[in-house]
Amino acid sequence: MRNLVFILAIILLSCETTVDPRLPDNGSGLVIYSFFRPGSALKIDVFNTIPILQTETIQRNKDLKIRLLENGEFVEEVTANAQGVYVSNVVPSVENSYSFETTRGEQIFSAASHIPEPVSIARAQMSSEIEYINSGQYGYPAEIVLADPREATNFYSLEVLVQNCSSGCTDDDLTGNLNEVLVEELKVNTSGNTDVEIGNGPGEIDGLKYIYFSDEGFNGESVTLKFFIIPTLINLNKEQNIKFVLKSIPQEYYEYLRTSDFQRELEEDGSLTEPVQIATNITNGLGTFSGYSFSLYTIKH
Amino acid sequence: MVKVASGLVFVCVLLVTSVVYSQSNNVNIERFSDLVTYLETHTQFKFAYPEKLADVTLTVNEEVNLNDPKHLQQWLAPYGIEVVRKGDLLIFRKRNNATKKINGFVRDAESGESLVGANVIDLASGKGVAANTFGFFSLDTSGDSIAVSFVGYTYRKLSIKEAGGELLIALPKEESVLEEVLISGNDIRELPEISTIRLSPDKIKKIPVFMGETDILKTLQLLPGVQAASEGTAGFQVRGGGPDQNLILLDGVPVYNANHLFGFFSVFNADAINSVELIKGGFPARYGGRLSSIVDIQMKEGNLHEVEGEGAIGLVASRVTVNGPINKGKTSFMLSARRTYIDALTVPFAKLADSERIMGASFWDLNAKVNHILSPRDRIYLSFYSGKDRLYDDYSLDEVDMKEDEYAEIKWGNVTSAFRWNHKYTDQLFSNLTATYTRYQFELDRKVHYQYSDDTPDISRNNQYHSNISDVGLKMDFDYFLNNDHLIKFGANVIYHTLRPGVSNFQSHIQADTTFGSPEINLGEMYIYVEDEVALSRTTRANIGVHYSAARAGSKTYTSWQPRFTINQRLGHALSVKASYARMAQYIHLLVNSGIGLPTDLWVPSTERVKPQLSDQVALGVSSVYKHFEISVEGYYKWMDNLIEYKDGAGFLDIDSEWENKVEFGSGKSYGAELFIQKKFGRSTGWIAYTWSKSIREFDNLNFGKPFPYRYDRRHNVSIVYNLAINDRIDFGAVWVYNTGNAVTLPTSTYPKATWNSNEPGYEDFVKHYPGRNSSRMKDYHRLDLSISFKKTKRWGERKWVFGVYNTYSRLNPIYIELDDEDRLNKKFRQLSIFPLIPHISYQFKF
Repeated sequence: MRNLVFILAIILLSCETTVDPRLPDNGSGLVIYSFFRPGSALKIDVFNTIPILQTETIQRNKDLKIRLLENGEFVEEVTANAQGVYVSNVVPSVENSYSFETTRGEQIFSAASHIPEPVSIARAQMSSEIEYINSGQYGYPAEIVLADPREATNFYSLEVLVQNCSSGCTDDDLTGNLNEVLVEELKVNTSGNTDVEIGNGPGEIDGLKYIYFSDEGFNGESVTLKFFIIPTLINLNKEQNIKFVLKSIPQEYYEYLRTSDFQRELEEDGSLTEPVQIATNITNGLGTFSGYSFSLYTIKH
Repeated sequence: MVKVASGLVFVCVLLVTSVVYSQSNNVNIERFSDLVTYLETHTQFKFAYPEKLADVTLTVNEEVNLNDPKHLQQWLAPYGIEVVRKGDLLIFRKRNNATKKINGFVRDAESGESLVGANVIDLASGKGVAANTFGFFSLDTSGDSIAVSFVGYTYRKLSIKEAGGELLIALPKEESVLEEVLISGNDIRELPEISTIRLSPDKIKKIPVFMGETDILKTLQLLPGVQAASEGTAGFQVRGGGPDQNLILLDGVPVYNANHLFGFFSVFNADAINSVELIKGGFPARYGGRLSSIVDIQMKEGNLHEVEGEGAIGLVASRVTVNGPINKGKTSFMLSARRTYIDALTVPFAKLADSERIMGASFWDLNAKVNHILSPRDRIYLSFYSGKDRLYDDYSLDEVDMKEDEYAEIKWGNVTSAFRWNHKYTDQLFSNLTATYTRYQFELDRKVHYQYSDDTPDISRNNQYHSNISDVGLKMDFDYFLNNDHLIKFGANVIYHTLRPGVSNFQSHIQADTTFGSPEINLGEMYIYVEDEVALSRTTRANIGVHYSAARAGSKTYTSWQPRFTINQRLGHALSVKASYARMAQYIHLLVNSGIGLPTDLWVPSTERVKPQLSDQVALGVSSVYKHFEISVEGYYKWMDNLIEYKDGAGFLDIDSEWENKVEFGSGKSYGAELFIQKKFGRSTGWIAYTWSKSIREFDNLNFGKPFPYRYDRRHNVSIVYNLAINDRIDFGAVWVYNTGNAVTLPTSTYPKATWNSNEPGYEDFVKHYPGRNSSRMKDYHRLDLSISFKKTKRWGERKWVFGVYNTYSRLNPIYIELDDEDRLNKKFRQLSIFPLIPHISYQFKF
């Protein structure tokens, strides 16, 4: 479709010129990322934005003093280490809330988040037979069963970690590398054997290293999520642990995943639709400050 | 001849004064008898009057020249006294107050076409009415003569002394428009109506045009409050509304997609059009179904007296229109056809060059109408329009190891038809029954076939997609001309919409046949209305009405009471103040993919989840006539609710989920001020239109809930249209347009994206920061178009050569802008401009 539009434009004497449009700001800003979980020290990465016409480079901002708060109480002021990462001594806990404040010039940057309760994977399995789908892609069919808590809207990110066991394996940690997954239609099967389309998320997932979804449509139910594991890291001839990691994430984490992946996907498609703005919960800045918890289900082969 | 009724007493007085006295400032006239005394002593007229006039109370002021019979006539008219002069004799008589009701039709003298909106005035009272859509009027008159006027036609005064029953008033076209037509006697100049503009095809044809194709919708874009969607296209937005908020009616039938070739041409062939009316606020109650504007286009009815035709041969398209009588004076027809030949030029060249890719684009349309006078009280019309666009891309590559065939085609088009039956029940009650059918369909077909020379199996895919909307409607409208102070219109309309908002069929070498997408949806819609065009006083007119609509969507019924009100207070002869309020409801919506007006934009109905769009608009304006100029200034404020937009990133081909899951709901508001200065008469004609406006949208789930400028939010819009009749043969035209640059969503910076390969995030990739939806601006838009035409009368009729230039100073106006970041070391914004200087030539003929 897009080609046809542009072909027509070319027929009609189109011409391209380089221009300098009127942009609303000069492109300078601060990006703050922190994805913290129970049991690991809270770390923060801070970057400067790069004006759009400049070459992209990683520009860490090491000049800040970041005040960390736990449940509203100040706990630590953190500065950057030699690598430019702000590593605190705070080890977050489930159900606690965390926030930070920092300033650059006269601007104050802040954000808050919490760590949701983990939701366990009741069961997980993976077929050893590769299956093809309509688009010509293929993978190992897999599924997990989870019991979604009823209390509130829950957000999840499902990952598949592959751990080679040649030099020993661990079952209960996040060691390993993430494997790409494939979902033809993002829906779950409820205990009543009804397929429920998951709203407000991607329709399909192709080649990402996580499946993110909300419980919109199946709040409080026990459901089965079916997907494919693309055989990038998985080698059935080797001894490997395949770890299904179900992250319970707050909405800000989910929105970041949703919007940042969607932006990339649309750019790759060359779509004429409106571009996607990436969600942030950083006041006056960009990025995401979010906690998460996780549960594991490990399959050995 | 002076007829004196029995019972009248004649009094003749001979005055032998040789000097005409000037009027005394101290004259004390309180009764008609005082006037007689005055006239006896101050003038040499003989006069006669019935005795019963003697006690009529009069009020005189200094401006009344009692010595001048014409002044006397004007002064005494409101007292019901008539003055008839016969040489030196002045006869005063009581006007016959038993008003006479006359009615009839106003038509073009040559062709018999209805003159919609022609003014018919009772010269005795100065009151008048406008002819309706079918040229019908009904007027109470207490005098002996009426006046009829219509822009571009000769002003006529008609004696109706002997007239009875129905009048057929035939107005001849003005021989020459070089001289201004001055209307003497009663001031019947109509000041511009609020938020309403009428255009005639003759006026439209004098304006320089794109590629020589006269275009009604592009002419509308030159009016205040109306904006073009994008460069060269016929799509338009009115007062900050969306493209779906314009109800475009062709002979009363809605046209859902008025664009050919992505909007570079509109579907309306100007040769087939009789009149165009744009209403952008102060909507009369008889209209409904859209929030922002009504474009009421009437097709020509066909000449009842003789066959005539016209046409044009241009660079991209040719057209021909023929109309004439089938049965003289009773039945006529009009047939008009147009076709482009872009594909006829490009395809042979591509084949000759042995190109691997062959592309083509074409459109055609056909207008037809028949009208038949069944009886003096009944007339029927049958009108039909059909048009289709086709755009295709055929790619074929034959190599040693593989053969590649790809074919893509899109087609879209409208069909509309209407049957109308006019019936005159009485001299005051006129009705029109309209049965309508309209359909718009979009189709996309894409085929891919790869064949390999080795053992690799063939790959084939075939995607077909279509969406459509069709309506069947029945409408009954009544015009009741109660008296000159009240024209009451009432009626009802039912429409049954059938929509298929996107159905896909997919076949591949793996999968046999899959059909998926949105199911057929039906929506029943109805409305009833009543309005009164009322003269509240000699200087105050109003249109007060109410429109009630309802729609049944699934198990849900939506209803809406919509009060409508306009008031026009005249302040002297040349100034009026106007105000209006209108509430509108819209039960169908257009999902727009992007701002460029693609035929893929999807019509969807209100459903249980998608509520009807609503708007409230207030407008306040002043209009005036100064010498040859009509000047109008208007301000407006419009609130809109239940607007829908695609979710971020969703589009019409995203058929994995139903369309209702792809939309967001929000509200909008727009406000602005419009200036319109128009010169309709004389050697030089044209207008200046300036609009200052702002249009904002607010959606909970777009732009993070923050308000953002609408994609057509342009602060300043200027159009200057100038036509000069150099002489009877040569016309010169110029148009200059300026708009603030389009609002567009562009990135201002990049920053690292958090990605995960293990349990810790990494930052190797980058994402873009868009600070807000439509927060950036393209370059301002402006261009100048010029044209000159040479007309010559031939034995067979008339021919005209038209030469013109679009975008005379070749301004590279932006249609689209994007970031080119393929080369990370040399990133830049690229602007696509599609129309630099484009000359055109066309040959037009008329017989």
